[in-house]
Amino acid sequence: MAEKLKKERSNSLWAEAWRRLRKNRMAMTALAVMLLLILVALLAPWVAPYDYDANDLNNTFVYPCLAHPFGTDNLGRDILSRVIYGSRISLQVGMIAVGIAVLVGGTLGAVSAFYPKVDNIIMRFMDIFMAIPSLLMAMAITAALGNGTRNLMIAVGLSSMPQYARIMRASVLTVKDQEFVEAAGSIGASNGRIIIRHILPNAFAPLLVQATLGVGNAIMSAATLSFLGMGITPPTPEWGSLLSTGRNFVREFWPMTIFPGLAIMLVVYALNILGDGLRDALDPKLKN
Amino acid sequence: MAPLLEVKDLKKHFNTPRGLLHAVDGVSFTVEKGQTLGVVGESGCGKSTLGRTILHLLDPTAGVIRFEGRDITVVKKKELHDLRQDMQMIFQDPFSSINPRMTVGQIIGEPLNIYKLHKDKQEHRAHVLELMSTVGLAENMENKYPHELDGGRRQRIGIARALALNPKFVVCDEPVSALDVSIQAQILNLMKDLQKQRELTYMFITHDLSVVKHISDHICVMYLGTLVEKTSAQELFRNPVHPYTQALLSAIPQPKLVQKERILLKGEISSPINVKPGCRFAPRCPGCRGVCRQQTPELKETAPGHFVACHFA
Repeated sequence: MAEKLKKERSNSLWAEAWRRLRKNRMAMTALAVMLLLILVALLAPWVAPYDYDANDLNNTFVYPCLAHPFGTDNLGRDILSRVIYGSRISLQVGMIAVGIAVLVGGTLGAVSAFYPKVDNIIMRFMDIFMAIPSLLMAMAITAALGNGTRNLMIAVGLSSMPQYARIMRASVLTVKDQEFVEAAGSIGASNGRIIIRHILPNAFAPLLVQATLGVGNAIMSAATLSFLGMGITPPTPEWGSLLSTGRNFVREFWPMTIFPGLAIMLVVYALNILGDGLRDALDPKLKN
Repeated sequence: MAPLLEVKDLKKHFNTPRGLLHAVDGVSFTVEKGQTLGVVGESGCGKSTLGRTILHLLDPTAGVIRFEGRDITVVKKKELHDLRQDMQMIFQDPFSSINPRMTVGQIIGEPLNIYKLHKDKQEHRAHVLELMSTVGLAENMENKYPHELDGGRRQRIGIARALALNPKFVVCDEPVSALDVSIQAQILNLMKDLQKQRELTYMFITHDLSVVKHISDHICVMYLGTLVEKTSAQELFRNPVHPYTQALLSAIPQPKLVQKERILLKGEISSPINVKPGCRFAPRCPGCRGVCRQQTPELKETAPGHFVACHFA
């Protein structure tokens, strides 16, 4: 009996949100799709039927068939394998770019919310960032840093950073004015303690939603940059660069553009649905 | 013996874009150990600001605050940290005054952690459980989150947190106004019991006169940042002198068939920004005369222990 009492259901807000998310079928499907894609990306060498750069010049431009479900490209490489290996880079770029954006933007946003003295400086700087179209910004950064996966991540991350700063700032400002923060001060909590234990955990939810939605956008921007030849260059399979190569043959041979395109669409769509679901699940006003 | 808390001519002004806001403007009073001072007034009259300024959650603009005879108007960080153990606060809204992402045990245990009262985990937990039982929270609530509890229980959490450090003086900022009437009584009785057990001194801020009558020894009536009347609770209800207090008291609903005629105040509370000289209540006072708009009335003793700020008292 005593054991039973102790195990009584007790849910943190995160657990409650997870419970609500589980009820949302679309979001759960999207989550399953994402997990599957991540798994495939991780296990690429075992899942992919061929090596991603195995040329077979006797079998170029093969339409989808049993041996090559997505067909082969202009050098006889298996498109399915290239899309699978490409997911490694695309997902990685998407997540790390958003990671950079959340880390830098979130920190800047939190700092400007906490310290009114630097608020104006930081936020006006962010406004300048935001005034430049993010794709142009990313292009400028890659142009300055040069091609390559790492620079692509930095470019995409930095160009989307201001929105994370804005969201974090707004969120922290809301939480900062709540009574429990004042209460923490009245029981003698230091500023550091108040920030880490009271404000950040309560300010983080909107940022999480934005980040989920942002990964999709980051994958798109990365693909766009690669498509334009400013991100990852051809021999490496990345969805954007696959599209870019396929573009030359788009009239004669559709599989080279359709399949990487579908892959991008699938991920972006799944992440958007998941992000929407998360937003609903984390909204404390929807209590069901 | 010196009073536990003495406040002299305390002022708290805020700089706002529209001018200087006189939230608290020259308030003086004393509170004896073990007693309860009720502070009443309508919303926006500065009563919460007064409480927060005394606790140094806001820095006073001018005036003197003495606690146990010691001047604490200006304190260093370290002194303030020590002072917090003796002076605590119970907040108004039990829904926003506790962190929704911490469990009941964590919330109540936090002050103990901050002041490193216990090295031993068992000891820490025992203390938390003891505090919980003091305020009437069942042991199995320890791992619950606030959103799973009702307002009364949440307010008990707030009380337990305030009592964790064993304070001498507690500012209660409308602790029951966000609760259902049935639960208000429970919480008020709990606070009274705790006061007896622990010899607590309360400063009880509220706009609810029946609540303040129930719990206070002395009452201060505030209007626009100043005290208009200050006396013992009995005297105030028996013999209110200031027109504002009279109007306030006549607004209490009476369980009688024949209602007394109510004094209805006209107009709005005037702006506390860039206040003009003269009695602050003058624009709404039914007995306002010429002098009221020229001179600010001083708080003067009209009967032993009964202070009123009105030219015609």
